[in-house]
Amino acid sequence: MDGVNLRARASLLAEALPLISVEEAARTFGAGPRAIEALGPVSFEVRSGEFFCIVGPSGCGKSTLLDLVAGFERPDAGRVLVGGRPVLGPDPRRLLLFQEHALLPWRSARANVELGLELAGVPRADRRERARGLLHEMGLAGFENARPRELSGGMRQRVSIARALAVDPDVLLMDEPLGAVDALTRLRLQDELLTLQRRGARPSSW
Amino acid sequence: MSGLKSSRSEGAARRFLLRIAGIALFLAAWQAATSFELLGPVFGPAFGPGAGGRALLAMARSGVLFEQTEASLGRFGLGLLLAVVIGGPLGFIVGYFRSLEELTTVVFQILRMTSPLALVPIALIAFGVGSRPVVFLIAYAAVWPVVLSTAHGVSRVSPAWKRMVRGFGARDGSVLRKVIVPAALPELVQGIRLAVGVGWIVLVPAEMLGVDSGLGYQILDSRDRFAYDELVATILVIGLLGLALDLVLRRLKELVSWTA
Repeated sequence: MDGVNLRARASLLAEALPLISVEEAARTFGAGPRAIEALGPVSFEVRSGEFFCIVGPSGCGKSTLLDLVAGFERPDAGRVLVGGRPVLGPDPRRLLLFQEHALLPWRSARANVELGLELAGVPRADRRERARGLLHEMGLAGFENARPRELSGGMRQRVSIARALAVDPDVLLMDEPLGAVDALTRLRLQDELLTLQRRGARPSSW
Repeated sequence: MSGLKSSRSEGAARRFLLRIAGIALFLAAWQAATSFELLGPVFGPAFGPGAGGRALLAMARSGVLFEQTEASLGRFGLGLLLAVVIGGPLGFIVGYFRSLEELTTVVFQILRMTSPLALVPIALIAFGVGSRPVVFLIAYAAVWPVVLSTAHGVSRVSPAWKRMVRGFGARDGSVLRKVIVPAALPELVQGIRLAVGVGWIVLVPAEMLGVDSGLGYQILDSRDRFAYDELVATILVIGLLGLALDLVLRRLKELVSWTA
């Protein structure tokens, strides 16, 4: 009874609260004189539907910050909240797209896209249909059964984007996912991501 | 394109012919050596491939050949199965935990290099006379390549893949099923292939110890009966079956391979 009430109130609050809030979060690797401060205290908020970019020279802590939001790392100081709750570990609702595509080479493009759905327990027929649709949307119709090694760098990155979109995450975190593809492919994929973001109103950050 | 294709099939045909020619040359040299007693009067025509081939047909007709082969393949299969059932999971555990790999590596290398035949007295004391010590010796020989190859495969699984599936919410069990097992499968099969090689070699001497069936027994038995043509026939069977087993495993490895 109370639980239902609380949940209703929480969803009302969620409308007003930022989706991601990072409060004075910091991360240091190692200890003592050889400790490396990977990320100094940093604070920001991202609201639902926003496209949020983090810019800085390499080594400034961008990847560490994304790891904190994705849940691969915990902050030493401060807090990272997503949807009002502290981040305790990785969660498919806030997915991190890596610099390397990390496709599984023994799986076809379609089976790679299905991975997250498999882990979520989606039935086979639904998985297959969703993966096919997403590959089609990403301009990879006809490549469903191709292995990653048979695809170009840009196509592989599209498969990994489709794989992320398949689980319909609330937040898509991108750690220079287009860093490894050529300049023209990068421009085109950036456009496509913007289109996807506008259509789905997914908050993103990279 | 058709030119390329035909030259490729030409290459395959050429390779096939060369292989057949290699076998023919070997048989001819062997036959000549025994017919002309080039290795001394002891090694007469009875030791040649012609006599061996005829004995092989006779043994096939009488059914002896299949009885002995069945006995040997049964022991070999059981030993190999034990090696895979024990060595596979052990390899996964050892490869997964780095400290366990360090803990076991030297001991496993020593055990691997200890000839199973050195363990014959211990095997006989532990398992008595019969098929069981033979199966033990094959399993002992075969388990190390399976463990070491699988562990190597598991330890080389890309951390990026594990991180990626964890990002999709996978727990340890799912990481194992979705990433580690399929990624290490080719090296497991490679380990089994090596195990088949070493196990098949150990089988024959192991069957010379207190069993009264099998290809190893057949070797000693034909010697004792001065049936040298049957001895040669049994040697041929051992070699040909070994080749067939290796071909099967090579095919299996191609099926599970995701690199090449």
